[in-house]
Amino acid sequence: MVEGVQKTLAEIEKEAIEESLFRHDFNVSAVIKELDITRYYLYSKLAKYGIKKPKDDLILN
Amino acid sequence: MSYTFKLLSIKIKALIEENGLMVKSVADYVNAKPSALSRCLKNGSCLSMDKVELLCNYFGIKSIDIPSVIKAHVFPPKDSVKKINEIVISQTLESLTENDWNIKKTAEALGVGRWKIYKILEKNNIKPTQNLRRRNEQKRIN
Repeated sequence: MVEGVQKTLAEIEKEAIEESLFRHDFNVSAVIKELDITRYYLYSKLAKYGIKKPKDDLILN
Repeated sequence: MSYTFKLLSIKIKALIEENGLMVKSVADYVNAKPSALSRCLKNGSCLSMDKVELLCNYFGIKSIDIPSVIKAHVFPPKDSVKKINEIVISQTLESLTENDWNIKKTAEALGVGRWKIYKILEKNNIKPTQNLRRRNEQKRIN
């Protein structure tokens, strides 16, 4: 797949937050510890980027 | 924003069409029957994680489009996760180097104001003047 143009700081930040959230199954405490940010900062970014906890679908093998 | 598997299926279907691919070739790649893959993509809820991972790799689908159940599988925990600040600094420095320490171009590339670049540099005690001097000296030599 072709790599896109350079990402903006906001995109990089959003990606880092999302990946950390998924890694820790949306455990906010683990995310703020991992990314070294405050709880307030994280929640403000979640609101800014519209990141919400997803509803997991059933995936059958 | 939704992360449902249905959306992922829709995205994969769209990518197959956009890239003019045959379902058969994609099915071969993920080691599945074409009819089964078509049915799975249509229903959006009956693929094994291994196959979803292969599909995501095949189409270069980013983390944002993948539901959390699959995400843990596709994106295993990293050994050295960078902190937000470290990511911002490294990206800024990378962009500054690419743009020959031109603050205006860097700010445009990173989608921020010039003040933000100065703030990042100041906060991390990085002096642009030193680098600019180095740049000017190099220009003179060339």
